[in-house]
Amino acid sequence: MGPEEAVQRLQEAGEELEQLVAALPDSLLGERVERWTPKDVVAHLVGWNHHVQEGARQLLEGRPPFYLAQAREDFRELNAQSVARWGGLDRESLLGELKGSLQALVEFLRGLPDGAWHREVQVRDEPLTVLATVSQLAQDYLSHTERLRFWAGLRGVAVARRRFLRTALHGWHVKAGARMVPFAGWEMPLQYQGIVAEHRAVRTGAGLFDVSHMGQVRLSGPGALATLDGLLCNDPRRLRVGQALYTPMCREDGGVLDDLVASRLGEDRFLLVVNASRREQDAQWVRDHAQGCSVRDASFFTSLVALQGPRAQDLLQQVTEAQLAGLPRFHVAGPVRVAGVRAWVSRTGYTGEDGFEILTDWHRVEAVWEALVQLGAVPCGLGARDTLRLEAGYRLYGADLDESTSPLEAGLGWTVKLDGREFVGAAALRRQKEQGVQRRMCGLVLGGRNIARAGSPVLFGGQPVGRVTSGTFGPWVQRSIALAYLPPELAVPGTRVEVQVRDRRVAAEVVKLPFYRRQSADPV
Amino acid sequence: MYPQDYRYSSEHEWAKREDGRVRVGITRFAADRLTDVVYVELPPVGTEVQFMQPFGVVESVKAASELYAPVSGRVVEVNQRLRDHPELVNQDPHGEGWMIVVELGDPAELDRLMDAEAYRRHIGEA
Repeated sequence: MGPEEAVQRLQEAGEELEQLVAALPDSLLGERVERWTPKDVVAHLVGWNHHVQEGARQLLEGRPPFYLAQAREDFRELNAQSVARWGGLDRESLLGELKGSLQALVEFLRGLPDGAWHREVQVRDEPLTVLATVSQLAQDYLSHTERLRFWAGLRGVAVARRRFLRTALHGWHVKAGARMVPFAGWEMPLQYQGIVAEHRAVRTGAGLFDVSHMGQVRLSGPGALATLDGLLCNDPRRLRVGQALYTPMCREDGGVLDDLVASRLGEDRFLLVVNASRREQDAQWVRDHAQGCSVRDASFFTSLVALQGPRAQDLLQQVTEAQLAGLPRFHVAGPVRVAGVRAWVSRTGYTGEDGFEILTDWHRVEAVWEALVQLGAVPCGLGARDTLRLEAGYRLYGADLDESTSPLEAGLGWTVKLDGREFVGAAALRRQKEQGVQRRMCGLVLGGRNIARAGSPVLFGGQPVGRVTSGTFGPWVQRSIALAYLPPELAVPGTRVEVQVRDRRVAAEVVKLPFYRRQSADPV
Repeated sequence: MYPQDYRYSSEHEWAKREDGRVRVGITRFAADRLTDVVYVELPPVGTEVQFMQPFGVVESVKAASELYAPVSGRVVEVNQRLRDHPELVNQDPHGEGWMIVVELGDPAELDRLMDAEAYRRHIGEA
């Protein structure tokens, strides 16, 4: 991302916040969202418009910004001062301050020569630049704006986003000629060269995905483990530091709120990587149930890329000192350096291949992405991500899973650890396990090349017995494949059914999942 | 990009006049939008197709889309290669990826379609 784009993003982020706050009814303006009111949020950002300008000057003098001068990051006092200074203003004056201070900052930035943007100052062992500082401020705006938007929505005030959210790699994707599409509020690459070619690259070499739209919720504090033990179907107490697990998170009635990967980064520190479409709900849900820990939605401050395929380890090993051969599946290493950037690396993925996910600070990801592309990783879009995950039999939230489905129905029983545990939904799932489920997810292979799509009815003996939730033509398995919910007695490999595709009934067979399993064994 | 001697429908089919016949396919724009085509369902030879009525379906890994006949008439040829090589639709949508040939009933129908320039405006590329 260049200076031009960074300034533009900052301006746009400012406008989004301004528009949101302008649309809030008076009654909500003074209401607290956690510790701050919407006015406090604006007031503290007015402060940051001033701080960043001063900080940028200090960076240009080769010094760390004054607000990062202490050993530990603590902005509480600084923010309290801003809130005290501007928080009491009426809405119009406050938004005037916001606009004015942002405009002043933008003018100052536009006056900087290009070289100034990239001048590096070491701050806590990381190079900091004006560019990074500005890009972080824009993310700070977005993070607060999205939080307020969600909160206002819960109170019946819907304010639409004016623009799609963009990852730090957005400019790269566009320049590379990717076809961009809306996805869960974000504008994401669907494909670069083509879904099938990208799919094959992952099965035979290495593909690289920008999955920064996914949410990152962090828990830290002595109560973090107990909090998660009370929320996750899978048992987080089994996690040692540096391990991760896949798990559904359920409502009281056993309906799936989301499926996610939980990593234990420290004794009392956990990271949840959640679906983009569920980020806000998840963060709120965890906050509402948190005891003895803090919960932070870090989604706008982190970037996540996935390097997937049989060559993933070879490629990644060339740009990191972390010993990848010794990193087993569902293990996390970090912080390590990847292409010179501080990162967390996990051996996880959503493609059915060996591979890694690499988490970095929001604005540092491009160096990692560029380095891996240089080494031959093929950029892949959401299109290939979907066909790959479907061949691998992975469920997609919003299609195969939602609040009306239980993990037991979805065939995720292996993730539901009920023994001696009382997480939200455990009682309902225990009951369901005793009584048996009404329907069960299974894989279908269709004859011919007709494709079953979400919603296609499944028939048995001419009668509708279920519905397809995902379907595609598997570019690697070269078959028309689908996931569907069927009554348990039919959800047995070998059962012959029909799928209604438009005006035609296509013969299909229930098969064991996954549709694709890679040949090479998991690393130890 | 869009041949001058073709005519184009609002549903992104092209029609190429070959004497009394018309060759039909989908446009580059449509093929790109669909993403990789994996299946093309075409009518058998002899079928009567109607102006701007569905005559088949094209499926990609992402979506299914109906094919609309840019002219009325009897189908006299079907591109059999697409059975095994649906990717031709993406690789060469205006050539090898053609779908059917229709015996033209009413030449006036061609005048109701767009020329290349109008079509490029239609898809926002002009």
